[in-house]
Amino acid sequence: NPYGGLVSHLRASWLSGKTRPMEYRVAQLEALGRFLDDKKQEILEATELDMGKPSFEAFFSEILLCKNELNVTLNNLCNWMKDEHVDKNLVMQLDSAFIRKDPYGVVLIIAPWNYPIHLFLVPLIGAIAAGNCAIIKPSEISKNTERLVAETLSCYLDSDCFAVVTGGVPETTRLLENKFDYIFFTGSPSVGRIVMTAAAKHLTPVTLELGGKNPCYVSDTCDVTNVARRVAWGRFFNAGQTCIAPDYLLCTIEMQEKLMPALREAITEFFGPNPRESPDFGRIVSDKQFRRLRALLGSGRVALGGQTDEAERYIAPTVLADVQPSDPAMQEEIFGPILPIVVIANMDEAIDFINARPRPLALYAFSCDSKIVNQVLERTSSGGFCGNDTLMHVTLTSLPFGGIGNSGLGKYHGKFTFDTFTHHRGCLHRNMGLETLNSPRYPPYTQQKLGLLTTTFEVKRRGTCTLL
Amino acid sequence: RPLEFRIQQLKALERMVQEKEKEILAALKADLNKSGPNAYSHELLGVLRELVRAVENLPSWAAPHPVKKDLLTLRDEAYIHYEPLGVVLVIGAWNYPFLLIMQPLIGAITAGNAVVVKPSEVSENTARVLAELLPQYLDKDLYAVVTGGAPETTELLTQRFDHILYTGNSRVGRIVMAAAAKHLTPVTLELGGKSPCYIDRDCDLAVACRRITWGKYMNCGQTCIAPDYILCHPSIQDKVVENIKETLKEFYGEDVKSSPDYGRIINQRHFKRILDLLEGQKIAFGGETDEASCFIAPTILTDVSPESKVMEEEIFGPVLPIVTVKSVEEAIEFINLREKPLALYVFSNKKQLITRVIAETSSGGMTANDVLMHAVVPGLPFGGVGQSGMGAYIGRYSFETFSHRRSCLIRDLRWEVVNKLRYPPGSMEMMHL
Repeated sequence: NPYGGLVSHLRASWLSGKTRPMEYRVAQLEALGRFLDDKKQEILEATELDMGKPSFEAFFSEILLCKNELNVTLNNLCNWMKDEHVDKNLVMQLDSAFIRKDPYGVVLIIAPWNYPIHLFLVPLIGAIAAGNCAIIKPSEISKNTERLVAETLSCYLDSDCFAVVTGGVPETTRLLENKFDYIFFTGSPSVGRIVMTAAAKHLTPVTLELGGKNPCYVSDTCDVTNVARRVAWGRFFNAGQTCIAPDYLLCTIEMQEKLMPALREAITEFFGPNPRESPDFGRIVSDKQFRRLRALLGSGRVALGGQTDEAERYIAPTVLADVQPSDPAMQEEIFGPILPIVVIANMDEAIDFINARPRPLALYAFSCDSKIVNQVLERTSSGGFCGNDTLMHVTLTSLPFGGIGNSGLGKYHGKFTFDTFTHHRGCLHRNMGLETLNSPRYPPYTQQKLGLLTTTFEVKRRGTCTLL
Repeated sequence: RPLEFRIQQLKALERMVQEKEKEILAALKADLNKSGPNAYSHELLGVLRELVRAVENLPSWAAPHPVKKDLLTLRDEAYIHYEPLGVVLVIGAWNYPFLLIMQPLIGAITAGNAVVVKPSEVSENTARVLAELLPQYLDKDLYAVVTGGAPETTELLTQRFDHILYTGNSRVGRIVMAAAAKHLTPVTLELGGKSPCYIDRDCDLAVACRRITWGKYMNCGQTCIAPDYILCHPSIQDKVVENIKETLKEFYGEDVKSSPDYGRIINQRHFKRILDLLEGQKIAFGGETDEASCFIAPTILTDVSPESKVMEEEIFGPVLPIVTVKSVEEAIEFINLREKPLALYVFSNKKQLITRVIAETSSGGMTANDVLMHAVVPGLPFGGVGQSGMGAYIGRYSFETFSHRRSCLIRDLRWEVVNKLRYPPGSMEMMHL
């Protein structure tokens, strides 16, 4: 077991109680803040090398959003850590009943390559805030960022309690043989299954942030220009390599006609006449992904874009029209700058289409009519939902971020990350006196005692006029 | 999905418990020799309480929960939308066979799910009663009972569910989670372990021992949160034994076997398993058994060695080992060397000592100066940690466990001006805005 020693070392640190005091947690979190500040330039450079991530985007997702999470956590940690007192019944009025926030112990965070800093750092913030030790396993596919994290993070965090492990599939498999007290995984559903199966051997609880095909319904009543801009922004951010990107569009044939020029205009507005020359448009992370995406271009017909360059791993912002449900682009999560449009007759057909497929991580609906947006929301299921925009629901730290079904289990962001890495322990501190109050519960059991128990323990219905 | 429908189903369950009380109690008596008032207070009362709480609170639990917005989203609607997960599987256990099916079932219905219920085949009478009664009161298209043993359950687990709640032991817990992993199904596992009970020298020993006796020998020790073993200073060990002896007489009379309030071991297999644990132990009190009726007398073992068999597995029977420790530090160390238990108990007059034990250990839940009671406080989640389980339920926690919390952000299609900041071509100056 090549990682056994490392895990033991962290577990010993955990058992020493080092990570529990609030001052320690705050110090580590502040160090993470300094990491983001000091290494900002290196992060922007590494992510650009890895996938041509535009600096603007990298700053937004890898630095700004992370600092937000850090600040929300630091501002609220004191409150989050406190015991939560709960309502008591009649017999317990003199007792103290509360929920204690216990750390789990040694946790494992496995991150993917598309937002390589953000997707390990935000979970790590919660893990540290909750008082755990952690092993971070960044993705080997974003190798420049992996190297940066492996080499520099240890200069900021306490190396007795936090460690970075690098490597690919074989290394991760060996790592997963160890017992962790929590595993947080972001990646594909197929690997999610492998992680959960490995966790089951040790009864380790997990959070899995996975993916799927995020549908985007555009109704006939909408401001076409704004819709096109917002959808294009969400689709082409990070060259489409975003788990919550709108994966495909559902609209009527008339709307498809109207959207096309609007999308063309939005793309030109964003990236200029030749997106290849724009510093604001990314590249595909690897040759393997590039070839996978290129193969999808045969679906439907290329209405916008479609140009590729293998040497640069460049795929132009592309819109495919008249895509059929059986086309390759509709068989897998796209994860690239290609937006297929599937034509449907009306909203009901769109909802049926969505519900016939695995539940996605995100779902989008655009309409000037709020009733339509609400209908789509009510009649479908997804991890999260955003009406009349894309991606934005995950930037609000007060909203939980997570999937359902194939798109994942568990949730995080803001306080939800802290709660994810916390065991909520029910505690009751009773009085040793007043023993007579307990007597109805002791044998010998009698109907009389039962009557007393029922009266004191029963929850009475609060009257019949509850208007729903 | 509609709340009215869920409330209607919950009220039907309430009627079932009230109308079929006799049948349910008879099944519990046949399975575990639970007497009427005993079975009622330990199983039915809890179910009725849970039903009333669910019906009362459903509208507020299910309502969309608005969240705090930031500068960019001030003009939008942001809230958490509670939705059912879909089809939930509830696998019950045999020790509180009615309670452990009904409570999760209530939670799953309240959250708007369809439910498949798989009662334990070991408590066969209750399983049969549930299979007969539930379809009579609940909508047959949405709620089903599956009976059977390991092969049937294995087959059932190959199906895809949207959540599985399993109550039982860690070994099968692993199997359930591994099966769930194939479908990425979230699980709640209510398992077990050895729940330690530390008795400080500074405490009212008579009261402490009465409370411990109650919790330990209830249901003949077959309670997942029963105090499994005692840790105390050698100087009070004899007094502890004396006090428990006295209390046992008070509870069950001189002849325990003839008391209607003392249960039996569920079956021969468990009877033999528990008997095995007594081998080589110093029996301070009890130890009488009768294989024919699966009777094991309330038993106390003293000066038990930490390495002995009785200290290796969850006892789940009326055998109480006492392991001596010289101090609370030693007790805490002893506890932390072992797997995290489902429950933890500490008896002391010293508030500081109790605070310390809570802070330096971990467990699913705990009670100080009593046993079991944290499980009946309405606002506390009930669940394990580590080998004793994952997830929690009861009351509002059931609703949350069986619901999907879907984040919703509804924006305006106008007001594009604010969005322009985020669109390319980007510049760092714009970013610092």
